Amino acid sequence: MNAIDSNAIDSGDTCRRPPVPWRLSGALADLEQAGESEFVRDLLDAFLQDTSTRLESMRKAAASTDLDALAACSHALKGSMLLMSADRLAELCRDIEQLAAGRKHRDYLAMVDQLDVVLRETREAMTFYADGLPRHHPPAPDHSR
Amino acid sequence: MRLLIADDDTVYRMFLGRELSKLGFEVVTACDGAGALAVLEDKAGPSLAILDWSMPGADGIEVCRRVRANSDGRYIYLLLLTARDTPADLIAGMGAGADDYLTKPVNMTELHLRVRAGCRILEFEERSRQLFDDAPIAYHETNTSGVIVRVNRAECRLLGCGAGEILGRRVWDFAVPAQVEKGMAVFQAAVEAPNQRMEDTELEMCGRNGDAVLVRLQQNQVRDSHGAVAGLRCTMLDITELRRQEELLKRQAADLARSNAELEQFAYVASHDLQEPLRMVASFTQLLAKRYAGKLDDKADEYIKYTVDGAKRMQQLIADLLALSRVGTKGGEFRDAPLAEVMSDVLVNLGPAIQESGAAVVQDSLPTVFADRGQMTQLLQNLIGNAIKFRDAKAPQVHISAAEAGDDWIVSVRDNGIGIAPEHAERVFQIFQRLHTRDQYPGTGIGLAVCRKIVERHGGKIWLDSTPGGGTTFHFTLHKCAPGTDESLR
Repeated sequence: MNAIDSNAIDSGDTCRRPPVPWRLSGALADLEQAGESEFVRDLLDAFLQDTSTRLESMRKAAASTDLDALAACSHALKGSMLLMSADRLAELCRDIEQLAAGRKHRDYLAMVDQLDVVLRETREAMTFYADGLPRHHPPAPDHSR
Repeated sequence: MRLLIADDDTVYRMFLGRELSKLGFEVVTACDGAGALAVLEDKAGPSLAILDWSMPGADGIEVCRRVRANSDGRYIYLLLLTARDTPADLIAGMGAGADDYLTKPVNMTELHLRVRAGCRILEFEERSRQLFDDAPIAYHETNTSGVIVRVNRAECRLLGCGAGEILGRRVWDFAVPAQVEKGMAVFQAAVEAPNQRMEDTELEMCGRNGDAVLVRLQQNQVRDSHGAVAGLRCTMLDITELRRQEELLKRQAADLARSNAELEQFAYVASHDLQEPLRMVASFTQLLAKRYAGKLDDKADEYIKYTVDGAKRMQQLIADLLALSRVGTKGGEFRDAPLAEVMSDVLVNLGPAIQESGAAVVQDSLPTVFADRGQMTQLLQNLIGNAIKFRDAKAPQVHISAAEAGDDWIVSVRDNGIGIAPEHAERVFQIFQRLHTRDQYPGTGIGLAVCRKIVERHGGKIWLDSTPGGGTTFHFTLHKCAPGTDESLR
C-alpha cells in the first residue's frame, strides 16, 4: 500500500497543516489515485457519522461495565478504522477490545474518552482533507435491509 | 450475478459495494444478520454472499449455519468477512459452512480473487446441477437413513410425482408393496457394504398412474471427508420395456426352436416312412419293365420307363431330404476331427466319380478341427462331388486348402468347373434350387443346402467366389477348438 500525502498536507504551510494522526493511505489512496475522489469523500462522511454513533454505544457499555458489548463495539469500530487508515484509532480500539474481552479491570470510560480525543483530531484531519475534494452531489442513500 | 454484502459497518458496505459493482455484480446490502437471512431465503436471491462475522442479532457464523441448514437445493457461496485471523477463528468460520474468508482490512486484489474463485465454484455447481436435473436417467441421493435429499427431473417423471412429493421419503416408499422389504434390504446392504459400489439390483416401483415400473437400481456410497458413509447416490434405469422385449424374444426363440424341431422331425419321419412304399413302387415298376419290355405296345414301354425313372428320382429326393433332416436330428458329437483323415474317407467314397472323370484332387496340409467327423465327411464329399460334377470339357482339378482366421479356420474347395453367376451365389444354398436341368446335370438341389446346414450347426458360415466359366471356390469356417479350450495346450 502506498501512503499518499497530498500537497496540502506536506506543503509546510502551517496555517493549512492538518492535525495528526490521520493521513490518506491504503485503499482510500488507491481509490483517489483511480480518480474516485468523490467516493472517497462519501466514505469519509459515512465513517465520521458512523463512528460518532458507535462511540456513544461504547461509552454506554463502559459506563455500565458491559464488557461484552464494549469488546464487540471496539471490534466493529476497529474494522472500519483500519480500512480508513485511521491506525491510531484502530490501535486504541484493539486495546479496549482485548482488555474488555479478557475481563481486565480498567478505567474503560477514561479509555473511551481518550479514543474520543483522538477521534476528534482524526475527524478534523479528515474533514480538512474532505473539504479539499470536489462534491458534486450528496452521498448516495444506503438501502441496506 | 447478484451478491449480498452483509455488514453493520456502513463504510464497509459502501466500500465493498462500490468495488463489486465495478466487477459487474448486482449488489444487495444488509446491515445485520436478520436482514442477510431474509435476503438469502428468497429463492431468487443472491447466490454469493459476503458476511461480516460480527453483526448485531445473528452474526456471520449464525447466518452461515442457518443458510446451510435450510438449503433448498440452491447453493449459496458464503465468504466470511472478519478481523479475526487465528486458525481457531478460521476453523470455526469454515466449520459453520463458510466457503472462504476475507480478513479486514480488506485487500482489494484479494477481494477480487476470492470473489472470482467463488464465481468459478458457483459456475461448476450450476453446470453440475443442470447435468443432474437434465440427465435422462433417474437419479437421487439419500442420507444414511434412506431419506431422499435430492432428486432429479427424470426420477420425478419415472415415479410420476413432483420433487416435493419425493424429497423426505425413502426409496422403498415408492416400491410396489411386495418389494418394499427388498428395497429396504438392498438399501441397508449398500450402506453397510465395504465397497462404494454395489451390484445392480432390480426393483419394481410404483410409477405414474400406479403402473408397476421395473428399474435397475444402482447404488453408490457417498463418503464424507473422514471416509464414513454419509448416504447413497442412486440411479434408476427403467427396464420395463427392455424386460418385456427380452421375454418376447425368449418366447419367440423358444417357439422357433420348437417349430424347427417339429419340422425336422416331420421331414425325417415323412421321408423315412415314405421310403418303404416307394421302394415297393420302384421295385415293382422295375420288375414290370424287366418282364414286359417289348411285350406290350410302344406307348406302354414308354410309360413304364417314365414310371421307373420317376420312382428312382423320388427315392433320391427322399434320401437327400432324409440326409438334410439328419444334420439337425441325428448329428454326432463334436470332437477333434483331423481333416486330412476326413479327406481320405472322402476320396474313397468319391473314388468311382474321380476315376470316371479323370479328376485331379489336390489337398494342402489340413488342420484338425472340433467337429462332427461324419458331417465333415459329408460336407467335403458334397463340395468335391459338385466340383467334379459341374465340369466342362476339361478334366476337373480340385484343390482343398485351409487358412487361419483368428479363432477359426477357413477351409476352401476350389475347382476349374463351369462356375456360378454372382446373382445365384446365395440361391444355390437353398433347398431344391437348381441352376440347370436334370438332363444337363443330375441332382435334387439339396446338396449345398445340406452343406450350409452342417456348417451352421458348427457355428460357421459358408459362401462362394465364382465367375461363370472360371471355376468356383467354396469357403467355409470352422472353430479351431472347443469353446473355452486353450489352443496352446492342445
